[in-house]
Amino acid sequence: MNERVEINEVCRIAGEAKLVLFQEKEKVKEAYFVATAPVRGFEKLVAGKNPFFAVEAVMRICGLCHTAHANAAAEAIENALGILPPRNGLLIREALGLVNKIQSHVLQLVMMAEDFVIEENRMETIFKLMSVHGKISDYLLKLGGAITHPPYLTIGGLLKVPKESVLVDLKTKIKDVESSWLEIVPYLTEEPYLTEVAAELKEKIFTPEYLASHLFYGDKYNITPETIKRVPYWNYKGKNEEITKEATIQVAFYKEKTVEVGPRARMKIYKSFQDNSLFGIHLARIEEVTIAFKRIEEILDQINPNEAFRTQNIVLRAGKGIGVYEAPRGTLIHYVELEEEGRIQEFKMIVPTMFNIPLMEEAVIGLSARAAEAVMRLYDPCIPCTAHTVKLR
Amino acid sequence: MEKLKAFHVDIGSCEGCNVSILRGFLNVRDTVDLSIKYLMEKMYMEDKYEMIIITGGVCMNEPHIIEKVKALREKTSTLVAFGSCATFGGILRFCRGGQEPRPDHRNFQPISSIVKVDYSIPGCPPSPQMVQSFFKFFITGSERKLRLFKACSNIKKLSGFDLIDDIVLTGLCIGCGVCELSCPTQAIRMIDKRPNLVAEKCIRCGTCYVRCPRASQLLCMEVQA
Repeated sequence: MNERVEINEVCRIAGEAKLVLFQEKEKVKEAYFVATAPVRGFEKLVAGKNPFFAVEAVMRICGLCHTAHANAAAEAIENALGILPPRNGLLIREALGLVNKIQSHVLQLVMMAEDFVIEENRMETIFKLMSVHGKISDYLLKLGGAITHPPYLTIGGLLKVPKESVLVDLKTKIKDVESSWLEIVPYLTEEPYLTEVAAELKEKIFTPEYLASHLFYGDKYNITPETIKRVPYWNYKGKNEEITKEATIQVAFYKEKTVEVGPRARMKIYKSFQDNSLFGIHLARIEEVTIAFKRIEEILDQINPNEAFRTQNIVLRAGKGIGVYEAPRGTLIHYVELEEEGRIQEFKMIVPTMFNIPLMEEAVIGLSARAAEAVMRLYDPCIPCTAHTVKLR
Repeated sequence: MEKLKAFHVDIGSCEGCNVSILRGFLNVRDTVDLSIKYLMEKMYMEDKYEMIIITGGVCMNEPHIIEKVKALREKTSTLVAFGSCATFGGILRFCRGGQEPRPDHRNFQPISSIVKVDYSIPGCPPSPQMVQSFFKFFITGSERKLRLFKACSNIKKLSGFDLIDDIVLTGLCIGCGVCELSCPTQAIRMIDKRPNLVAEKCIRCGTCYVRCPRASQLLCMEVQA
């Protein structure tokens, strides 16, 4: 007997999505994760526009991983123009990306609290997490110019340079933010504070193949972007059309295989992370926030305020480029083609959730429906990003 | 005192506004009872709310979203459009469709094009402090402070170009530089105490217009009249 469970709007994920599960004896046999957010069409939106607008525009694909998109787009356009920002520019860019990574991960942990943290501690943990979110958002405001969509981040480096006193201030405060984060960690990871769902996910071993290009920033030479193929969701599923036809997304494969991207992939490839259970994704995410704090500290030490932050005399011209960046949710790839006046001719992007969706559906087989819903959240799907991507030839 | 019962709905935004609302709400949780997707266990909606906040623009090619917005209007006496996409269209004004897998999603409109909106809060995204003050003004019923939000609810588009047309070209500009500070994309720069708009960077969010002391005065006067 196949029993059908349908969750019309999955709560506590970024964006709108539907979850359809087929169960047998209380265990999930098949899962459909159908994103239903409208396609805003950002690749088409930037066509014919100035590359400087493109960076501002693609930031607005997503309000959670804005900096990741801006970094990838700026990298791609710089690659096309054949320029490289000065060291300070690259460092600040990396710092902004890490601040964004912490923002995004912390928010994901807030959404996850309902599943993993026992009720007595739940609200308190959420408030503490949000206070860390507030403190770290201040870094984006001071370095990048806004708490979301940092406007100083642009092609060639940084548009406006933060004052030296601001940099010193940020440097002294980072320890404080870090310690308030470390205070919360036990409530998210240690046994007495965790729910049954967490225990069920600890039992489930799931070891897919991993893809990551860098621990902190992203490196286009560490992966082969040409081998990525994408198909619309309904083609990938190939059956149950009445469920899949509502989907507004595509899924992606690397070298014809499904791969997991995101915190666990990065930690496995670059940090010899050990946990193979689904709960390991949660642990990897927490670990990543901790090391991100360390790296921000390092970067703030290395910035030299007396040197340049941006490439001088940028000339727009024709060209092609690729930008690869490790977004909070995994490897993000932007392709750009500029026409002879330097305007955008073609823009394409591959976002991490496209890789993860097939795996999310695979991972839940054999779990209870309650845990299956939690796994969807655990992979931290970002629907706004995923529903705005175009098919590659 | 009884808490204000509010509900937040997202109809396809970038989530930036949602994070702002969440952060702002947690600071006023003693006076507001807001159901937001980030903290809900299961999606659940009652028949009536004192306030419904919508983020994101309406995709005109998706009938179910239009129906949803219309249904939400029926459920509340106060409908709030939050963020530039919901109020003036914002970056969604640039959408042209044609993108796989749904090339038919071509046209996006602000909420006020579909139903009557009571208050509009523009910004990309509006800051958490803005959320706090809005709730505070609403609960204390200070109409004077809500007037600007009310005025915005009648407008369907607003951008840096309107600021230049209505304020700078008419000679009303006093050169205070608020527009430069408020612009979320650094598209406005003051040159000789007058704003210069870098046209290709304007995302039509309307923040500069609403923040401009002169322009906001003009908007409020229209409501009073």
